Amino acid sequence: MTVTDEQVAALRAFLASEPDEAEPLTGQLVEADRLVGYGELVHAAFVTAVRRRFSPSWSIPEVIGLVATVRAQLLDDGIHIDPRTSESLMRHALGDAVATELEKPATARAQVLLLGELIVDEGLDDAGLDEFLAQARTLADRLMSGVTHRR
Amino acid sequence: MPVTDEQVATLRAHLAGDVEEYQRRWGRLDRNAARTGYMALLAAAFFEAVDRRFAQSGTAADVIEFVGALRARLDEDADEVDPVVAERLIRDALGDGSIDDLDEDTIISTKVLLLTALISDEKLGDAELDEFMATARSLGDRLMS
Repeated sequence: MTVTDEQVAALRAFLASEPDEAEPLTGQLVEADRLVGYGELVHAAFVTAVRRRFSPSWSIPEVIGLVATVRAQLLDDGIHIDPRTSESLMRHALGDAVATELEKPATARAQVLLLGELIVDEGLDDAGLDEFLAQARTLADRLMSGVTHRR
Repeated sequence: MPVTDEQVATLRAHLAGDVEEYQRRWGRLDRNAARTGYMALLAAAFFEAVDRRFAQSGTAADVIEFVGALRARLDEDADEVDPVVAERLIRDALGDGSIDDLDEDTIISTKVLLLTALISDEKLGDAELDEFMATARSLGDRLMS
C-alpha cells in the first residue's frame, strides 16, 4: 500500500491554503473510503516540516518557543491547540523518545494545524511545495512499508 | 490581621533574587500567620504584576508567548510549569475565565514562578521594588479584610 496521487492532491490543496479545493478533495477521499494512507501522508509531512525547520540541530527551548509562537498565531483565528501535545509531537518528530498518542483525534488535529502553520512560515512557491510533498510522500510510503513488514 | 513587615520582607527577598536572605526570613516566618497573610500578599503581588504587564495592552497571544518564554528558559525543567494552568492563572487575574477546579498547591507554586518571571522581566531597582511591594501589601490587606 502506498500514498495515492489523490491523497497528495488533497493535502497539497490544504497546505496551499485553497479551502475551496481542499474540502471537496478530502470529502471525496472520505466518501470513497480512500483514506488509508492519508493519515500516514499527513504525519510524514509533519515530520518532514519539523525536521526541515530545526535542521541541523534542535533544543527544547526552541521547540517550546516555536509552539508558543504557532499557538499565538492560531489564536488570531480562534483556534486552540494544546501546548504539551504540540511540543511532544514536535519532539517525537525530531527523534526524542516522548509519547504522542497520535491515534487520539485531538493529537491528530494538533498535528494538522501545526503542519499548516509550519508550511505557511516556509513561504513555499508551487515548485517548493511540490518538492516538499514529494519528500513527505516518500517518507509516508516507507513508513507504511515498515508497518506492513511488522505485520 | 494585616500583612506583616516580615512577610513583605520575605517576598521582597525572593523577588530580588536574594536566595540566602529569602531562606533565612522564610525560616523565621510564623507559619500560622503566613497561611493567610503571606498567601494574601503573594496573591496580591501576582495580581499587581499581571495587571502591570498585560492589563493595558496585553493580548491572549501575549500571555501564550510569555508563558512559552518562561518555560523555554526552564529548558529541561520546562514541564515543572503546566502551560495551560499558567495561562489560565494569568487570564483569571485579568478577569477572564475561572480557576475553581485547580488545587491550591498548583495555584501557589505556579503563581510563584510566574510572579518571579514577571518581576524579573521588569528589572526593577530597589526603590521600584519597594514601591511594588507597598502596592501589593495594600492590596493584600484589602483581600484579607
